[in-house]
Amino acid sequence: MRKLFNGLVVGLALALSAGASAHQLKSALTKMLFNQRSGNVEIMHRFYIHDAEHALKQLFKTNADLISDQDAQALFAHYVEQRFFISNQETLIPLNLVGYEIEGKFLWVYQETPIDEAITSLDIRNNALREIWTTQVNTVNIEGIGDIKTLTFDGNTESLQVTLHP
Amino acid sequence: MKLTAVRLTAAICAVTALSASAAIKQTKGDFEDKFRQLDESLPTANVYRTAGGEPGHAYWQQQVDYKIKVALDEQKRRLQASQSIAYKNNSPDSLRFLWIQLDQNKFRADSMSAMTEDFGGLGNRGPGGQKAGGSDPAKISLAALRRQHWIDDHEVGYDIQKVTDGNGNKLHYVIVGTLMRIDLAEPLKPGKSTDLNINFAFNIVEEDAVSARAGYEHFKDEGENGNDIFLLAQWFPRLAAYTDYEGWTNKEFLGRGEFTLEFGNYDVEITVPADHIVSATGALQNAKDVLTAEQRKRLKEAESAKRPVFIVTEEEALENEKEGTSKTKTWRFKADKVRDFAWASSRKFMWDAKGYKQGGKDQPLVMAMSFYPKEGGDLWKKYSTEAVVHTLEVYSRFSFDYPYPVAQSVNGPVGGMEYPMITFNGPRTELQDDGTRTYSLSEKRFLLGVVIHEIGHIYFPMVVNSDERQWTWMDEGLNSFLDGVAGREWDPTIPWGVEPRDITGYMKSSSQVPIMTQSDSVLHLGPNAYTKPAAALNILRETILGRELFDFAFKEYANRWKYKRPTPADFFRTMEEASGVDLDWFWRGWFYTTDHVDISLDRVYQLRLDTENPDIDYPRLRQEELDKPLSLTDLRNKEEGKQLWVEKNPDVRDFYDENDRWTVTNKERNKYNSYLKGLKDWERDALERAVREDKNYYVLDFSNLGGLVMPIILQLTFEDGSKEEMYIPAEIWRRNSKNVSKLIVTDKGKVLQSVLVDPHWETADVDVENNYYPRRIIPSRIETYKSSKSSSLVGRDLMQDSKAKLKSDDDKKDADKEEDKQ
Repeated sequence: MRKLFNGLVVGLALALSAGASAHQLKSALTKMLFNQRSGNVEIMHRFYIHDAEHALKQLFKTNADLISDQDAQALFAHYVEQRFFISNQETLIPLNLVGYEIEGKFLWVYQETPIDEAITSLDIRNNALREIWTTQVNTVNIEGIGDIKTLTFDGNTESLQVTLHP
Repeated sequence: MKLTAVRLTAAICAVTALSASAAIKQTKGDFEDKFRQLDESLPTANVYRTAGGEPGHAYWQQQVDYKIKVALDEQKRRLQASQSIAYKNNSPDSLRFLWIQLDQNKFRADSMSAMTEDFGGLGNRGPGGQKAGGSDPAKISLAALRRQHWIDDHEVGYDIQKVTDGNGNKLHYVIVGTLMRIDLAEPLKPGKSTDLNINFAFNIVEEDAVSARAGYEHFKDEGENGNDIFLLAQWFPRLAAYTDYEGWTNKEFLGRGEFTLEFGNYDVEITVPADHIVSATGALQNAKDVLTAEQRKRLKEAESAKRPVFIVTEEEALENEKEGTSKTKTWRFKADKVRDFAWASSRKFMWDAKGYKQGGKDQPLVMAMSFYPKEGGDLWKKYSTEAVVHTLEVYSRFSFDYPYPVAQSVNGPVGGMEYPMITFNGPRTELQDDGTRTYSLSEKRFLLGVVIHEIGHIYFPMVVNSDERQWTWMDEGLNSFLDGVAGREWDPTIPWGVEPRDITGYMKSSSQVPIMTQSDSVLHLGPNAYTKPAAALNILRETILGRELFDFAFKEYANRWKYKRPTPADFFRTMEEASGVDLDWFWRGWFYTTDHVDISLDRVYQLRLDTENPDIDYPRLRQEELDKPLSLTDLRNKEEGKQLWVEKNPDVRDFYDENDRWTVTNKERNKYNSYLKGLKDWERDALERAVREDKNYYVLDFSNLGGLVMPIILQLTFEDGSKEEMYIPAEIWRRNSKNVSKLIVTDKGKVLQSVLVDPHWETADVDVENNYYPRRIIPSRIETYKSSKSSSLVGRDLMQDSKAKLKSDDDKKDADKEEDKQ
């Protein structure tokens, strides 16, 4: 037990307590599409509005009504930008924030970057909401390069690798 | 040579090991029978459960009645209780011991739940941490630390003080984690009853610290010592279920798989501080002792009120909040035919109620009631009790009249949890700087959604008593399906429930697990136990069976198993038997596998009937040749102006220059006539009619890329602009689950222009692009977003925009300037 705690200190600053909510869904789904037509890797994050709204409350102490408040949507989109990374050989690949929108019970956040054919593997990190709720599960489906590959970012996962040209 | 032999042996072993898992197996070729009947996978029918999914003629279940006296020590946040249990053995077996559930022991540091927590692992209920990874140190959340500290500082789990039989003789017992085995002095024979007495106590967990399904919540800035809301569930030692399908259901409580319980009658006396308001499973027996005359009068008024009536008003609750009391009151509740008992207590509660007159003979009047602190605000005042009533109206239509006298929604620290007659629901308002309480649209939707969902659980699984420890989907899936139905009937503009399109992302992912996975082992509980089964039932109702067949079968299931204990097989069998439709392929695909739906329309081609009549066929063949593109050589010769030999020598001509190879002679006509003569009468009639009608024959080639067999729903668009829809049952895939072709015949004028598979997105098909023939470009979400960003209406800030003043012509210049800047 003692040994465990030695390694813990750094992670504490961001972690906040979250009230238990049996039906807050705490899951997000990301579609990462290699779109040959547009020549872009298109990253489409789907969050439950209610999750995102409670996250904003905890992160930024705001009581924004996410459905009607575009500033709050933007705030959340920028937050997602700071939590989702793709890199190749330790080099971060810059992602362009295309936009965000509300659809039904979901808030979508869009990012993209040009497809680089020279890159054969990617390291992906999806930390969105996981510092707030350690039960948060982020699923990433990688599509457009053969069979769909699924990466699951849950409690203990930091970075996952995907091979692009098997 | 020897090496080869060794390899072969190894390969054979692998095959044998595989085949052991299924009784029937394709051992040659690759045919996969997606329509194989489920019999090999379902338990064998018997006298307790019929092959049709009904309780059998010898169906039994135990009867467990409880009399409990419990006292809440507000200062110590501790319950002290004594209970007597009457256990009636309706099984055909003699029982030498009884198993009791001690759920509070889950919170102990040495519980299996705590000991097997995978640090930072997936699927824990409650706060956790993150392992070290790459250059990052391991993390533990403050929430996890808080939980750790709380557990360190408090004694949790049961203090079992006495276990005796009805005569006060001590019984031997052994505690095994969250369970306790009580050894009976004499075996309990079939049909006999025995009495038990258990005295127990435990310290109530702090819900926000521990993440449980119950607990207390502290409000520190109120009154002298602050106030608490107490939500009590899994609070008394409950009999584990003894069943015909599993014997004792004594699987350790790990936190995820919920409860497997027996029905019984309850008589519970709850002693709390005198200024507390108590909500509980059951009907209040001693209103005169605990309520004022005024409150009793209001309760009577509420029975026939149009809108909820306050039994305890906000002002009265605020007054209660200011100071506590050392006096106590005892509230007595009785509940018949329930599988559990929960309650809530606080001096912070206001209380509203409204009678729901559902009629019928069982329970003509139901009191819908809500209990909430000021933090619930208008959100609760307006919507909680009304949502309770709405839920009863809709769910009863799909099942049976609500069978209990009360249906309650209580606000506290639990996000959403259900018990018989009482539910705990979390959404609240936010206190603003100006002292008002507001809530967002999303929070409003959440309150409506969670109240409908949790009240819905009073039907499933509180009355239709499925085994939650084993199968989360049986209550959550069915209930999520129905809460979507009820939600849409509340306000369809709110995005409710489960559209097939919402589950495609999960179903195509490789981290999916079968729905038929025991609850504690499911990876993604939300999509797996809630969304996917709900979407499946939605599809069954709207697409495969249709509402009439589905609603009848579903209601039949609910009524067959009302107050009884169904298993998955009983649900599958009843839906099939009552609808008269073989659904084994559907259960197999959606519930037993991780296939997804992806049907591709690969090709459409047209067939033409050979009439055998040379005067019809030969000109057609000539036209076909003419329709082919010209040879490039000929084309370029023409372009160069090259004169051909035949053109330069028009004087040299013969028969073949005048008659091409498709010229019909009497030889062909004679042959045709003798062909006609050789036909039988019916053959000739068929041919002649086909020639006369000259219909279009199209063959559509489909492939099943996702694996899940589903109906093929087609939208056919014709050149004349008309559209037709066509439903091909899933059974088309029965002999080949990978590729099928369908012949479609249309009238002469109906020329097919394009075909679309699943035009209404009702089958959860994951890839829309291959549903079109001819293919068309389906823009990705980002592409659509980019092209429609300027015209999107969804993102408008209506609240802000509505403040804008209408501009006059004079203002126009300024407006133009503003636009130039952008």
